[in-house]
Amino acid sequence: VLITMSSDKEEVQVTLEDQKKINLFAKKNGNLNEIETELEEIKKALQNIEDAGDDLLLLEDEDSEAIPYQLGEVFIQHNLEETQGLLEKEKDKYEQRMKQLKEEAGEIESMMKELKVQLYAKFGDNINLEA
Amino acid sequence: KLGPYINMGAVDAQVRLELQKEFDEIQKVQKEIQKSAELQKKLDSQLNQNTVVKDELEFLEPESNVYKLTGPVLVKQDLGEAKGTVSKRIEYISAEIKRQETLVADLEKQLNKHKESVSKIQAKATAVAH
Repeated sequence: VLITMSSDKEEVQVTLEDQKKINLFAKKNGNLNEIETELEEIKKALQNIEDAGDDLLLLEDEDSEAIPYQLGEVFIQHNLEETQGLLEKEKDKYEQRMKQLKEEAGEIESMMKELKVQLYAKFGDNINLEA
Repeated sequence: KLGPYINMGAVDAQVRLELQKEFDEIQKVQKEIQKSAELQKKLDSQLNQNTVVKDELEFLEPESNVYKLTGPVLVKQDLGEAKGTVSKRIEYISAEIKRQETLVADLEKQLNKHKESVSKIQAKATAVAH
């Protein structure tokens, strides 16, 4: 559980504003987890693209004429150069998405940090915001 | 007679503490067993897939074209190489399954030990109470 309130210490009034902040913190924490999951997937995809690029270089010349490349549900054949171009584009796409996600994660993290400061200032040991 | 009751209370707290410790351990071990079971399920399905692929590869003529999907690219592979890769994969998965089975057997031993401890603690507590 993300947030626990213990009642054995002195009672602190939770205002609507406080509850909104707590909810926002929980929501942002969820978003952050989602982003981290997607980043892991992208890392895997980028590794696959790199492996594919390496494998292509090991192909015999005669096999490099028509390399099946997956586009949606079908495979279309391209020559080596075109295939490498497609891989490069795919890589750029993932790297851009990765950059975007990292920026988002940074914004979320600083927002959570700010909320933490505010909430701990008010609730102290009565609240536990383990990230 | 207040004496025995007060004494009982002290024993109770001690017993409760010991039991709690055992229960925590049991829960921890059970979690690990569950984790291993999930992994084994995944490994089993991977083993199945690879066995099917191996059987299929055996049907092929030596000059057949074999491709491996890496990322979005189908890369042509030598049939012998493909067979080697799949065999190695099967070997690896089988070894991993064995490792998990040994792990679970060990965890179950631990689990039984903790359950025995619980029985002993309870028996001792009952004996004291009477």
